[in-house]
Amino acid sequence: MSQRSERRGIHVDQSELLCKKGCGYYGNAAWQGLCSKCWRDEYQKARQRQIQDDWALAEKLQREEEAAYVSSHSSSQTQPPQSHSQHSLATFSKFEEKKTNEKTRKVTTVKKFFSPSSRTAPKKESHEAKTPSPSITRQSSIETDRVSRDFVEFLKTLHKPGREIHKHSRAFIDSMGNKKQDLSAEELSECVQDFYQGMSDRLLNHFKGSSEKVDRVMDQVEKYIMTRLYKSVFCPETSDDEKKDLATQHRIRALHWVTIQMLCVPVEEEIPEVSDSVVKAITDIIEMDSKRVPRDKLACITSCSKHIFNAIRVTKNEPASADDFLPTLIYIVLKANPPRLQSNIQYITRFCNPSRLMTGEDGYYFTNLCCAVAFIEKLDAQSLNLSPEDFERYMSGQASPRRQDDPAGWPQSGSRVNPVLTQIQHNLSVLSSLEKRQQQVIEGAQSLEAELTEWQESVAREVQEILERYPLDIKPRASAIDAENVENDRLPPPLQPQVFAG
Amino acid sequence: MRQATRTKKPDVKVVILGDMNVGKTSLLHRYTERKFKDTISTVGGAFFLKQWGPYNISIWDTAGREQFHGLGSMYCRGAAAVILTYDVTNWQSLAELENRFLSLTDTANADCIFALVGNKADLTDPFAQEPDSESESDPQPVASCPTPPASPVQHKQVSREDAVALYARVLRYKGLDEKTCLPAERMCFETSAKTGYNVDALFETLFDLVLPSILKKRSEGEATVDLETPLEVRRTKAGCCA
Repeated sequence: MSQRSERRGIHVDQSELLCKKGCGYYGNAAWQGLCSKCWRDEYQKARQRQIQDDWALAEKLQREEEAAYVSSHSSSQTQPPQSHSQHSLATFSKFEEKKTNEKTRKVTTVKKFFSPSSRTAPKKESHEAKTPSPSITRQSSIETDRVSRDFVEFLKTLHKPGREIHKHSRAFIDSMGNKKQDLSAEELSECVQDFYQGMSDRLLNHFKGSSEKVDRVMDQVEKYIMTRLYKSVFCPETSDDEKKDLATQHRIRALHWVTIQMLCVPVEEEIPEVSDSVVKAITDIIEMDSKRVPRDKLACITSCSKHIFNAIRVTKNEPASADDFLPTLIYIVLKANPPRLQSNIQYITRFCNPSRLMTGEDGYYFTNLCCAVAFIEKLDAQSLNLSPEDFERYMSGQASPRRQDDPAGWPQSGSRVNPVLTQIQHNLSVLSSLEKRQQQVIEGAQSLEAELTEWQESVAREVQEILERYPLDIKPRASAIDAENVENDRLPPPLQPQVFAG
Repeated sequence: MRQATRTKKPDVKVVILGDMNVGKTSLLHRYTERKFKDTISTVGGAFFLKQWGPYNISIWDTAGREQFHGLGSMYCRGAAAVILTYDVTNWQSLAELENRFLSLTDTANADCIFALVGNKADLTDPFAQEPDSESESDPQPVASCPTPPASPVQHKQVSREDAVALYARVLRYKGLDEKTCLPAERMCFETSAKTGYNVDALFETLFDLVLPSILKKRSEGEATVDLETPLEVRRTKAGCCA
């Protein structure tokens, strides 16, 4: 993580949030760090490989059968002609039938794989298509076990009513398990809401109208029920939630060019604290998809909204109003492109405790999210104060919005652009600054060279002047006292001190 | 009055509608911050939870920008009261209530109460320029606003008669009988979020009026069954056991 990020206190690096494929969209832990599109592509590749393997296996089996047929045919040569012909015909017809069946099976498998998930498809096939990977299944079963344990622990504190609640909850889950294939999404919702209502009424009667206790118990019941039923009621086969999800995702991708200015979002992303809040808001709304309980999904929306309010408060230095909040939420949704957004909204609407949605704080933020999605779906040129021509050009990708202050025309830092383009923009700006610095260094070096040459010449001139002013007079070297004595070498050696005994 | 806790579940909701810059959020802030300490706000100023006696009332702020026209109906779903807000110095803001916002209230409760509020009265009315007293006593709703001064600070574009006429049209739109409904004199307010003039009167009148709605809602949920008795199989339209 960069030093700057550390200073600002972001604990999640931007690169960790993004799709591992580098497509520029946000990834999801449930999809191994990929965005929904890349995950779908990966899943399709895996399925394609599986189909090819199946095909190869079928071919191998076919060859083996042919070999077996040939061997049986040769061994039956000794039989009478009539019986032989009958036998061979029977075997051949069986083989042909089997081969036809094999081909049909392969064709339907391929068709099923390439066609979009049809709601009218047989139950078996659609179930096969929806089967999650073993790791996801294992993870979900662990979570279910944990929630069940927590629920039992909680009910122990209620003693006798706890046993009754557990019994009713288990009975309801079993009854839903038997009926889920036959019911539409609305009917599933009705069943769950009826159960909530019945349980709530009984609890109110038991707790003598103490609504706080009832709410606490109902929260636990909702958590237990919805964790157990999640796989069968989230984005059910009978609804078109998946189709809506894809439509919304494509719509948001098509609107990648929408800038902060177009939506009049009162947020300055250059401020570190604001930038942090925006990143946290995006993380929260993406995280919503990984939760199973409607209340937990709502909590993610509320947390996202709180971060948005904080970003606006820091930017404007005053509390935000709904006129500030809604456009900022729209911007966050466009930036995050949350996975399975419509499915999550529908799931919350169908299976959340209705009183929480109608009046509470979570309900307020959820309503704003619904408004944001509705706005995105209906968004047009007028909504962004653009001319219809500009809007069409941006939507078709023929042009992209330009910065008013930048002649180069790079998209705004706040706008949702491809990270690669952002990186290129950053690199170019770094290169241009390096070029300027290099130019300055070259100019400095040249001036230094000129100064050094001039200094050298001035020193030489000064030396010359001094030499001319003070001419060099070489005097004879001073000699030693006995310098003229030429026979020094003939002199005896100096006397050595001698020691006498005595 | 004891403080409401954030975990408390609201009994009813009140929605505030109106054009951009009429002062919806300012009204909420004036009411919640000036005097009442038992009100919980989010970090923003868009959602408030108010304890009124033993009941909890949530107040929802809405986006008034024209780009978001049509989204207001989502906010109004199940609302017990709607505050239609306009700016007394801007005739267009009153017209917008009828043209844009009135149809959004179709999703509100059948017995929804409507209040018509002209904000920024301090710009036209010398009485509204005086800050409201900080007394804790319940202020009485003002029957009628004082006559605007001869030389106002700013020209008053919306008269009280215009507001009363619109209130009558709101009742007609909702298919309500004017004789049986609350009188316009009681449900049309002129306020100043800046000085606090008439703000308490507005909210307290409204909260008192939504109490029957809360009681009705609570009484509907009173026919309960003992938890100890075996759970009877209750068939729904879907044919599922509860």
